Amino acid sequence: MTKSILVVDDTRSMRKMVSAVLQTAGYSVEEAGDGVEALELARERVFDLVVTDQNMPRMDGVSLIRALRSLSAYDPVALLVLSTEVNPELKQQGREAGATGWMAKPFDPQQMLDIVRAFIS
Amino acid sequence: MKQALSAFGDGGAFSQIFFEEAQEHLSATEASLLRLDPDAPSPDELNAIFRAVHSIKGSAGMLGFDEISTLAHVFENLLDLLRKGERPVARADVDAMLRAGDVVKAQVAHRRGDLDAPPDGHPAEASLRERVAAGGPAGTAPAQRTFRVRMGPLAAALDAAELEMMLTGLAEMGTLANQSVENAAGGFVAFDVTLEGAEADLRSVLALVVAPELTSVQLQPGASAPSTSAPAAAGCVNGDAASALPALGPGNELFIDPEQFRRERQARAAATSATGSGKRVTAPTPAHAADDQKPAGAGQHAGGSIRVATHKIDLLVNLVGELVITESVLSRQAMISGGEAGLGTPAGLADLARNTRDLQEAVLAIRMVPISDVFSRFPRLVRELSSVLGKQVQLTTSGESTELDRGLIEKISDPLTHLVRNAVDHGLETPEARVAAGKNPVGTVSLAAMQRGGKVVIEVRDDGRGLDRERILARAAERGRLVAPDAPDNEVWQVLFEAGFSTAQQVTELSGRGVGMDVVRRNILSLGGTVDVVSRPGRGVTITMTVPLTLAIMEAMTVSLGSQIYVLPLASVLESRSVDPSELHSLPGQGETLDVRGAYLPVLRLGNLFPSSQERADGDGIAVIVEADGGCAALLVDALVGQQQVVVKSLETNFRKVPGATGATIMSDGSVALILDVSHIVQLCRSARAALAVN
Repeated sequence: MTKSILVVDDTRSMRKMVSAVLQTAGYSVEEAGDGVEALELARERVFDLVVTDQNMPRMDGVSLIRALRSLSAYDPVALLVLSTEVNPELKQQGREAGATGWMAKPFDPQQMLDIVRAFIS
Repeated sequence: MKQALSAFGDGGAFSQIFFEEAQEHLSATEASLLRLDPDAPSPDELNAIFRAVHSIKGSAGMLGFDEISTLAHVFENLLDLLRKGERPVARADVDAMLRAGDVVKAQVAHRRGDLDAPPDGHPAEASLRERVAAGGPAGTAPAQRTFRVRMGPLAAALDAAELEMMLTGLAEMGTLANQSVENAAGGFVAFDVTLEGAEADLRSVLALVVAPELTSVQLQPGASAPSTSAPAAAGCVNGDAASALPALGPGNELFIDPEQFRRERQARAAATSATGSGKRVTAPTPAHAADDQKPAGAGQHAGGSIRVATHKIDLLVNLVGELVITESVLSRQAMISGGEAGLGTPAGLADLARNTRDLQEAVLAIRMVPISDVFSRFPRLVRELSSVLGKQVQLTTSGESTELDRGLIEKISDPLTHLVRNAVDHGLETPEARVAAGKNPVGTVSLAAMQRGGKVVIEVRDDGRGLDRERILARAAERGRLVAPDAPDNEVWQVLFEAGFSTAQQVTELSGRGVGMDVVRRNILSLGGTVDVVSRPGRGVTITMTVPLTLAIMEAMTVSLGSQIYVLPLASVLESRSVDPSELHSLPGQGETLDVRGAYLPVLRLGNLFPSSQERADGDGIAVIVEADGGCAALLVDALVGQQQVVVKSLETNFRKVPGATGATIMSDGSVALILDVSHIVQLCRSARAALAVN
C-alpha cells in the first residue's frame, strides 16, 4: 500500500520541493501551509509520516509535533522536522516534544529519502 | 548543496514558484518595514518580516541561489536580534533592511533573467552586519572587531607599492596579524585585521587594490559582535541511529533508532487494533472518512485564491465583450423581425440580455485590483523624498481597497507618482517655514481613493503653502500666455498643465523640470478622466483625478456622418449644439472657427478626417464641442445619434492602427464604429492653426 506523508511548510516553493522528492519516490503526499492546517488534516486521517518546517505562522513545527503526539493515533507515526534552524537547544525541544528526527535545510534529496525510508519502507 | 542544485535549480517550476513567492515576501517586507515604528516596534510585524526573509533564505538555498541565501541569512540575523528585543530598533536598522530588501529583489530579478548583471550584494550585506554589530540606536561606536580578509586568487600580481600602501594604511587603522602574501597570478593575500571601523570602510580600502568579488571579509568570533558565520553544526548523530544510517548529512539527527522505532510501532499498532479503536483519530463524521482525500489545493492558504495569468483574464474579457455584442445584435434583430410579425420579442431574450450583462460585470470584476497596489509604493517614495529634501512628511492614505481595472492601475501610477512628488517637493514647506507660519513642522500628504458611480476619484492633498497665483500669472506672461489678472482661480491653475510650465524657483533633481503636470493631464484625459485643482493659500493644494472604473467599457456619445456612425468618449464632450452657417467664421490666420459665446473655437469637419465617409450635402448640422489636452475644438457632424455604453475593441489587434481613432466598437446592428481620438482632433486643429499662422 502506498505510504502517505504530510508535508508542512509555510513556504510554498519549499513545500513543493519536498513533495516532489517524496512523490518521485512513490509516496502519496499531502501538503499543509502551517501547523494549524496540518493538525486539521491530521485529525481527519492518519499519515504514515509527517515532515514539518519549524518556523511557521500560527503554529510552529515543535508545537505541531507536541499536538500530534497528544493524539493517540499519532503515537506510532514518525514525525520529522525539516528546518534551517539547527541549534541544539531547539533540537532538544523538538526531541522532548516527540520528534523522531531533525533534518537541516537546505536538504539533500537522497539523504531525505534515506531517512524517510528508514522509518517507513 | 550540489545535489540540491541538480535536483531543483535548473530553472524549473520550483524556481518559478520561488520567484513569485519571493516577490510577495519582499513587497510585504518592505511595507512592514515602512510601517514599523522604531520607537514601538510591533513584535508581530518583526516576526512576520523575519519569517518572510527566513522563507526566502531556505528556498534560495535549496535552489542553489547562494547569493540570495547568503544575504537573506545576514538579513535574518539582524531581524532575529531585533525581534528578540535584544536592543531597540534604530532608524539605521530600517534603512539597512530596506536597502537589503532592494538588493534581494534585484538578485531575484537577475535569477529570473529580468536583469542582466548580478547585483553586488556586498555593500548591503556589510551594512546589515554593521547593524548586527551595532550596540544601539544611537549608533554607538563599534568596539574593536577582527576581520579575516582573504583576497584572491589574483588574476595577476598586484602592484607591490599599492599593496604595501594598503597594508600600511590598514596597520594605521588597526592591527594586522597572520599576514600571508603570495603576490603572483593565482596567489592569495590574507590577513586578520582588528580595527574599530565599519566593515564597509574596510571593504572600500580593500577595493582600491583588489576587485571586491575576489575579496572575502569575515568577522571573527570572539569579537564584540555575535558571530554571523553560517551555522556550523556538524551532524551530531545519535549513537544508535548512526549505525542504521551511515550518511545522515550535516545537521541531520535522528532522535530514535529506526529499527527500534519500527519494532515499537508494530507492537503499538497491534495493541490499538486489539482495542478496536481503528485508525481514526477522532470520531469522524461520515463526510470525513479516513481515506477521503482533500482536493489538491488543500495546501494552499485560506481565502482560497488562485493565481491566473493576466492574458487569460484579458481573453475572457474580450470573449465576453464579443458575447455582449452578439447579444445586442440578436436582440435588435429579434425586435425588428418580431415587430414586423407583430409578435414582440421572444421571452428568453430579456434573460439572455440580463445574464450577459451580469456575466460581463463579473468578468470585469476579476480584473479589478485594489488601488493599494499603487498606494503601497508611496510610503517608500515619501520617506526617501523627505530625507533628500530635509522635510518632515507624514503620509496618510484612505480608500486603499477601492478597486480599479488592472490596466488602469498601471496607467495612473505614473501620474500619481508625479503628483505625490510635487506635493512633497513643491507643496510642503521646510519645517522651519512651517513653524514660522504657525503650522505643525510635520507636513501631511494624503492620498484618498473612492468610488463614485462608474468612476473612481483619486485625491492627492497636501497641507503646504498652496499655489502662488501671482507667480503663476507672472510665469504665464513670461511664456507669452496671457491670462486676465482677474481670471478666476480655476482658469489660472489651468496654466499649470501646459507643457514646459514650471514656477519652481530652483529646478530640483526630483521635480520642477517643467515636464510633468502636462503629462499627468494628458495621461488622465487619455483614459477618459479629468484632473481638477483646488488651492487654498497657506493651507495646501488638492488635486483630484477622476477616472473610469474600467477601460473595457466606455460611456459614449454616438454621432453620424452620412450613413456612418462614430463614437466619442462622453468624458471629453463639453456640449453639442446645432450650428447655423452664419456662426462659422473664417478668420485670417485661424481658419474656420465657430463662435461659442464669444470664444472662437477651431472647427474640424469630421468628413475631412475620414474623407471616405459620405457627407450629407448640407454637411454642417451639429457641432460637438470636445476638449482634450487643455484645448477645445468644434467637431462638425451630421447628427447626434445617442448616448450609450460601448465595449471598446482594440483596432491594432483586430485590424490595424487608424489615425484619428483610439479603437472601435461594434454597434447593436453589427456594424463597426470607430471611437474618435479627441486629443488627436484637438492636435490637428492646433497644428492647422499654427501652419496658417506661419503662412
